[in-house]
Amino acid sequence: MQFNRKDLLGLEDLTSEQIKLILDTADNFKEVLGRKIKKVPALRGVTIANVFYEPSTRTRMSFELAEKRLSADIINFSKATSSVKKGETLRDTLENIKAMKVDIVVMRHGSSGAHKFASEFLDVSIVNAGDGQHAHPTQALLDMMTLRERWGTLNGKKVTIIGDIMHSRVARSNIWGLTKMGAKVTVCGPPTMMPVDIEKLGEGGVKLEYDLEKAVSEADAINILRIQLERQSTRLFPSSREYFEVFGVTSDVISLAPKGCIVMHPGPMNRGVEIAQEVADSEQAVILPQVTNGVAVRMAVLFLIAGGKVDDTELNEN
Amino acid sequence: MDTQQMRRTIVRIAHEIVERNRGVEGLILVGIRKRGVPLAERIAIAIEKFEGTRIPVGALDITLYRDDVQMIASAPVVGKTEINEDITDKMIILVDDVLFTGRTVRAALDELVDFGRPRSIQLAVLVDRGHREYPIRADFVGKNVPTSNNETVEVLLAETDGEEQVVLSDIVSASSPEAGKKVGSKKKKAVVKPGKGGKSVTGKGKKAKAGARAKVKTKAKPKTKTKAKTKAKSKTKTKAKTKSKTRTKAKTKKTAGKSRKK
Repeated sequence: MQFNRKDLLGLEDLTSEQIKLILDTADNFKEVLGRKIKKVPALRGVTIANVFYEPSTRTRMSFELAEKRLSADIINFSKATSSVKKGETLRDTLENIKAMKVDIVVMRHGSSGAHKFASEFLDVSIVNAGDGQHAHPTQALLDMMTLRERWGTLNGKKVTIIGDIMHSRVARSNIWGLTKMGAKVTVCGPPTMMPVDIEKLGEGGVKLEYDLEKAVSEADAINILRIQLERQSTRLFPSSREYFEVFGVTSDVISLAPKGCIVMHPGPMNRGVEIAQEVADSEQAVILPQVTNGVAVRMAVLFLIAGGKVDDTELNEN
Repeated sequence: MDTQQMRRTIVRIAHEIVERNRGVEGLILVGIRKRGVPLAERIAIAIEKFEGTRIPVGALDITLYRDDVQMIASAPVVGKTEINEDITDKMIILVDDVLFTGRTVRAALDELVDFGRPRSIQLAVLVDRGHREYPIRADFVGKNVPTSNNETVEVLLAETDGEEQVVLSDIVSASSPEAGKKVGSKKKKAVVKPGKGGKSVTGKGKKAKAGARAKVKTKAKPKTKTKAKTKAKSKTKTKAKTKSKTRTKAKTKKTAGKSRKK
């Protein structure tokens, strides 16, 4: 199985075999993170630009750590300290970065489709670290890796995604990835935060449920989403307190789920809004293992993308 | 080298390892994936039989340390490295199936050093086929097999391939006009099959996927001579005598991608 892709823009155009290859590679990269010297020379000589037009803590640190673990050279760009403030366009910024002879651009942007646009004029590899409300493929991959670690497989498992589905790129990428891998997805949230035709998303669609208790009653895993106030032009619910009353995941809600149900959150968490304090810190929560797996998954993605050149070399193992 | 010969060879290597290191104190066997791992396991079992001590066995995947990882068509599959012992101040016996250019061993040495500072690293191989590109030699050799650059040596083991034999093959390369890909057609030259089906030491007789075997990209050697004499003793047992003065018809065309030999 070969990856042979120039970019990673989303999971919708990946096959289940390609997703499995990324997850298998990430499993093996996780061992590297446990070594005394947590560094391998696989991407020595490869230059990666981290271009972040939006604030990020976990994703940016995770990508940067993954790049360093693979011995890549790194340059960082953030909107706040760049010429974007002076009016430079996205295209000009990327053209300039390309002119610096980078090999891979890891980009986060507030506009959905920014990466697709960039991939049409950039011949360097582009890895999507989040674009607007569209996709966050590496987050979905690390979520899948965390679930697969627990279960050994994703096929036939039931995952419930709760919260602000409309504004969530994490939800969309998770739906694409999980359904491709044979999992059954239920989405649950306030009607004001549920996009039209969400049931048709993914391979085979998803189940829509507005009742939180019903949504968790058969869930093998619950993925709780952050309320993204920064993406809301109008208030879609009366108050954070009311949201917590109706859709907040508390220990009482968890008690309705099957035994051994896993609790996930992509971070950053709003404790007391979408997740209760006791749930966030419970044994069922795999929020910190998700962060660890994030580094391994991003190492795998960068390694596979860097190897995605078209060449006709045969190899000799001896 | 049939199954029995392979077994004897492994036992001999096991004895040589113990003799050279004056016992088994501080020894760790590390197999290079993929066929070095079952070989290391077999050596450990052999040593346990006559010394009564089980030596730790580790596995090393050198994919991330290869010097050609940026040059190849697509990222190779990364395997798992499993060394559960602290290797600092230990005597490491690196085990592989075939020693060829030495590049794999170079990568393995780089990786081992990242795990600690061993007292020494020794190399044990089942087959040494020559053609070194790095100043590396094996401390323990099962069999020296003189080969030409137009040949491949494949060691098949019950644990990884579901069968047990050593295959020496000719390669004839030709370029594909459509994709510009090299198509390597193999012409089997000598096959050494076991007398009885090789038993898996670990009890895991996995079958290797087709096409997962190593291939050597060849430089065209215009005129080499070959004489191959094979006597079939039975349906399952074959003895092959090959002389390294060989004559092969190798047609090669230059392709865009440059090959690497490890």
